[in-house]
Amino acid sequence: MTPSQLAGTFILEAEDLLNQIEEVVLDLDKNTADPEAVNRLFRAFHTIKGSGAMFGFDAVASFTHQVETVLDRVRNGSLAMSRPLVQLVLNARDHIKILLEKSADVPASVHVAGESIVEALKALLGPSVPSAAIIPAAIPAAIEPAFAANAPASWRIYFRPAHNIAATGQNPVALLNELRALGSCRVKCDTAAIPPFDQLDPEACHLAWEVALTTEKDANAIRDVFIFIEGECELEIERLAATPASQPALAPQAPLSAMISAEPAKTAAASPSPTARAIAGKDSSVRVPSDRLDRLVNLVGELVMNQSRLSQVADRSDQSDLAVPVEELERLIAELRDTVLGIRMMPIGATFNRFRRLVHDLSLELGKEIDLVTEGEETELDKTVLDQLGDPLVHLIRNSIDHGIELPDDRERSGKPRRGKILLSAAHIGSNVVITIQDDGRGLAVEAIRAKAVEKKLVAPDSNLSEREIFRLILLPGFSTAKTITNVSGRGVGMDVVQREIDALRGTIDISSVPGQGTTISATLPLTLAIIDGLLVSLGEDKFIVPMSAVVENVELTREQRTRNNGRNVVAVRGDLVPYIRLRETFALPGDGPDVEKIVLVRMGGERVGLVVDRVLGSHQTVIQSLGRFYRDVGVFSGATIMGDGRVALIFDVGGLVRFVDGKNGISAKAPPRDSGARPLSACSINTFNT
Amino acid sequence: MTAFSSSISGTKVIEGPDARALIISTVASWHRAWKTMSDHKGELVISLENVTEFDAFGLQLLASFVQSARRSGRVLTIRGASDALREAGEKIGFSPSALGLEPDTRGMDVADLREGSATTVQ
Repeated sequence: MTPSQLAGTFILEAEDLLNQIEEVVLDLDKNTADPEAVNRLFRAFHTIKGSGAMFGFDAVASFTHQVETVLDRVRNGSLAMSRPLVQLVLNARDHIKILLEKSADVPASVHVAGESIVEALKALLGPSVPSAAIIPAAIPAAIEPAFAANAPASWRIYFRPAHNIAATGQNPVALLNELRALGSCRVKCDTAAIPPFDQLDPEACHLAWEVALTTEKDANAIRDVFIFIEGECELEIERLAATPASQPALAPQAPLSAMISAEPAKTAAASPSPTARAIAGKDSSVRVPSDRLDRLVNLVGELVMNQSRLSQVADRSDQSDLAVPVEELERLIAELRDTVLGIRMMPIGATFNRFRRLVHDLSLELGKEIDLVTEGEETELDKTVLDQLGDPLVHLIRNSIDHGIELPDDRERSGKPRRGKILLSAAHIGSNVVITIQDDGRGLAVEAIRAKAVEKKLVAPDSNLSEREIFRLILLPGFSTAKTITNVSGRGVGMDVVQREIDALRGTIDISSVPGQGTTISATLPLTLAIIDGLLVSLGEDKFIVPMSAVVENVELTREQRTRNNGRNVVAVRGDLVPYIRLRETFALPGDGPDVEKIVLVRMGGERVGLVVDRVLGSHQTVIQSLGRFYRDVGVFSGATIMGDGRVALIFDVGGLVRFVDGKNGISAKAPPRDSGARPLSACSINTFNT
Repeated sequence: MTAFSSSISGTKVIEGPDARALIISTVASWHRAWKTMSDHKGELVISLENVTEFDAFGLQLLASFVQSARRSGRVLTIRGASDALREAGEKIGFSPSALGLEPDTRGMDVADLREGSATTVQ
């Protein structure tokens, strides 16, 4: 690895640690009396400091040292963890993140901000405690000056490193040196596990050490020596009963274990640090640049398309011996496709964790008390979907915090607990993932939404809208019922952005709410954006794909039915009237189409809409290709795919198509109708419109 | 790196591939060099005269060689058991016996074959 690659690896691992720090600090915010959380926090900062110094991030190392000093006081019990300290540690964590991001050229303003955090940290330490000087970055952590002097105690330390300790860049001798720096030390190496010479892997470590240490430092300081290999070694730290201040050096031949008279405190190795795991290569995961994965997915896409062509050729061919190998190839490629797409699947938990901080910060800002509860963090989604999901979820959660959850006093007055709750959950349902944001706030005011929609001419005053249709109005551009505009939300630019971004992900939004009890917003998303199951349909000579995840069922539409409806584009499906779009008319295709057409019923935001096509050809594994920049703004199609015969089939963006038809009918948000209760199709379950 | 060996009157002398260090970065070469002695039935002599740097992996290799020699009942002489080796042994916690610098604690015979700078274990 080159130095810049090493630095890059450090930054990646430091970012992981900073995410962990944020998580732990937010836990501490709820329960400040969790010693293990403080230890985890300390170790994470300690690792960042040590690694930062090692890779030349001196500003990071120096700054982190200050945080570590304070946390050391907390874990020693001489400083209490408090809410202000929690906030300070969060600020420090953010500052380190900035230092890492701007490592090449840190602006003076960032340094000033860092100094103010350091001053605040020092103020917490108080005048009675000598403030630890900023250590030179290269000095190993374990030989830093003591933070506080304690009475000397004797310790027995046993550690057996992992065989591959050398591969981690760690050296047992360096660890022994660090222990020596803590106090007087006697070391005994256990050589019993060394294999016979001809079976020995000379670069693997088969040794263990038993160390008798007399030091003023506590168990944490000793454990910190092993911080880079914790989880990668057997480690026992035991405090001996006798205080050996006056004890002479151990007799050379005496086994160290004989020194142990009691074992009141035994510290086992803690859970592995990510840095140690990553360096040791024992993690079952490998970091791969996402563009390489994208390339792999694209190649598999090409393979799927070519296999499809090959299958068609084989079908047309008279050579029957082609059938078996082509089928086998099809099976293998399907397996390869699933495996490769599986590589890009990531649990949504990391995305969820980002919102804990958001909830914490906004709650403070707005004077609210809110718990964020997450469920289904293990639910996996394609990384591409996850990457694009963050912004809409931020909007939704901000709205819940700002408009949904009431102030604590207001909640109390209405008989609710002072602390509000936002439940963020994810679950697989069929080939989709449903992400739900549920709050226990005041709920949506149906009448206020309706009045605002009428005022903004989004719906006609006499329109007959169901509650669910009214809720969906908040997704229209420019809609906001907030009485005051805050810097959190209330400008009406959030929810339509959410709608657009969820559309772009081929997803749908559903809203339900109970006044006084809260609001639930569900986003249903496809698992992946790369290859989808599609329903292949035809219109004239052209073929199109309807994403299968949106398809509910197919029904027939006869010429007679159309005539009977007198031009109203609705069809009765088991007693319900469902609006439909005649795509042949929408796209101005020549001819009148077959006598019996097919209606593909799709679900959009909890409502059904029909798409009338000439024929339904069947399901199709669809490798999604982008349309290119010339067609970027065509909202009706979300992409294209290449068929087995080499022809292109466009993929419908169902939401975009419905909005396009709304607009074409003059009932879009920009030009709302004033007549007879016509409503945007995107907000209706029953509509009558012509294309 | 090349290992040098010579055989004089049934005594096989092996010098390491790197004359100055018996450490993690050189242990594989030392291992290969010393392995060439495995077929030798007579007395073995390891030359460490010029080695000034040892680490845990180097001492582990040496200890393994000493143990194997003991188990096979062969005579092994460590030539040039320097202060550096003794200091490293002490610092890293290896007993002199484990490194072949002193008699095996099980009381096997030891004979100095070279003017105070070599130790033989059997």
